[in-house]
Amino acid sequence: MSNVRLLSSDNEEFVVQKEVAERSVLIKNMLEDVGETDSAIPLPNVTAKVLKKVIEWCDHHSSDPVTTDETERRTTDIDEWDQKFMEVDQETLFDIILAANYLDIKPLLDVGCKTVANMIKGKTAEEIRKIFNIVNDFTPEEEAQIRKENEWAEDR
Amino acid sequence: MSSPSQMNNLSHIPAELLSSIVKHVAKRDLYACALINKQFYMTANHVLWRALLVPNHAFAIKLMTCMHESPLSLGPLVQQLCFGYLVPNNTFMQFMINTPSLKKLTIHQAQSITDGTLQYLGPHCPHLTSLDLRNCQITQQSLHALGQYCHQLKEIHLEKCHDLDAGVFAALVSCPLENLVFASCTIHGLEDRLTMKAVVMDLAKFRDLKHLEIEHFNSDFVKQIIMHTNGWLRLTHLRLEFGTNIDDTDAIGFIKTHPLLEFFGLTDSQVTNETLDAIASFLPGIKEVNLTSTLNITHHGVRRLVRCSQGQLSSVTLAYCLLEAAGFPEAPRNSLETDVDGTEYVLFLGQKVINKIRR
Repeated sequence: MSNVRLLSSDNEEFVVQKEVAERSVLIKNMLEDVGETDSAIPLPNVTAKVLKKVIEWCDHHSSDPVTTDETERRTTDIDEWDQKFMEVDQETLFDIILAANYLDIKPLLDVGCKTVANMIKGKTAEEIRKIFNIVNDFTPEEEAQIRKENEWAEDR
Repeated sequence: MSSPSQMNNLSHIPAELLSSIVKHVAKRDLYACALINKQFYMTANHVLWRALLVPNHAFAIKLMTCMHESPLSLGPLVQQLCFGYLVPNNTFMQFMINTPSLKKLTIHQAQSITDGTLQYLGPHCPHLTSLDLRNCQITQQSLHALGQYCHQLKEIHLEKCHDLDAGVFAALVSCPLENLVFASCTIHGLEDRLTMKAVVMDLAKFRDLKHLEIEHFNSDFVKQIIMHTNGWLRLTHLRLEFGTNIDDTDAIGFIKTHPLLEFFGLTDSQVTNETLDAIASFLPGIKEVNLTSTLNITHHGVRRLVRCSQGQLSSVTLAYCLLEAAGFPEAPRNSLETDVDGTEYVLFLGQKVINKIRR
């Protein structure tokens, strides 16, 4: 099994099994394009801290079958290992989501998005704003208007 | 792309990722999501309005009011509409004219909707891909308008519609139909043999057809359909009821010319074990066989079908075939039915029984 070298945005190098690194479609395509290479693959959008987490996830899931089944991907169930893995501070959580998107690792992106969706579950808009530190940019009139047009969906 | 530290908050996340998150949010949480901020509103509102299930009239009125009171045009967000109650004609019309992006329409209690209203469905909702109408007065005129305007219409399910006539399929000839279900409908004019042949010829023109179900029609019509052996090269699912005068020659001819069939359902027919052998030989992808009320087959034939067909076969329905349970010692009790005189008959063979027979 050959290894691949990955270089984080803050210039830290990681040596990873090719099979693990290829969970990332971006890296897989790069490797196919350049063929056998000794130089490290630069990942200018991912810091060492986040890359370490992403590699940990890819390593654990390296033998997963590739699933494209939409219905399977849509449930909010997350397996136990992934739940533990995602017990991180919010900054790291969003960094992982952004990295998964950039590196094109769909199952990891899904786990990240599901984690956020679960944090939203059962909360009011005000509570969600508080949790994620989001500024309410509606005028009171706009907010009233939205309540009105979506009134039908309020208690469903 | 900005550096990650600048976007580590939900309010800075790119729109495409926000929609990936909202996709996983349960319906009941979308209302709250739409009220978080402007970016969330844009994403959540699209999902909220995309598919509407209307269970009762009070809800329909509420939805209409919400739609009308918004300065934004919300109707164009609606892509799926399902009425779960006896929707009045006027109410349906209000929805129809306000939902120009509609792709999928389902109305199971369509008694009140007039054909006059349905004639405008095509022009108002030209993006329609799927139409499911039951207990409906729909006629030729409306179907013609659908054929004229809806060039993406792939699925039609009509049930208990009794005002159809011989031009029913000709009207839809320009639609790329893949999935067609006609159940307990009346097509007027089928009494005449030439008319019936013409209707089947029209049906044969849907070259993209993958799924065809015809239930509760007269048996001559069903026979004409199965005799049409060079029609649907992509057909994977066939279910025909009341094949009372269909014999082995008809059935085998059809099987040989439709090698992609995965589901083969033919009830009340005269076919024998020869047809079962043909299924095993000529349908490599067969998954389910339904032979309800087929009296000329034996347990030897069925066992041979199970043993000789390819590995994917997972279900064989044998209700009212009067095949005695003694011929299938592998079948569990819950797959048997006991007659008044105490004789046990097999109703179906599931995956486990099929595996056992193969061993």
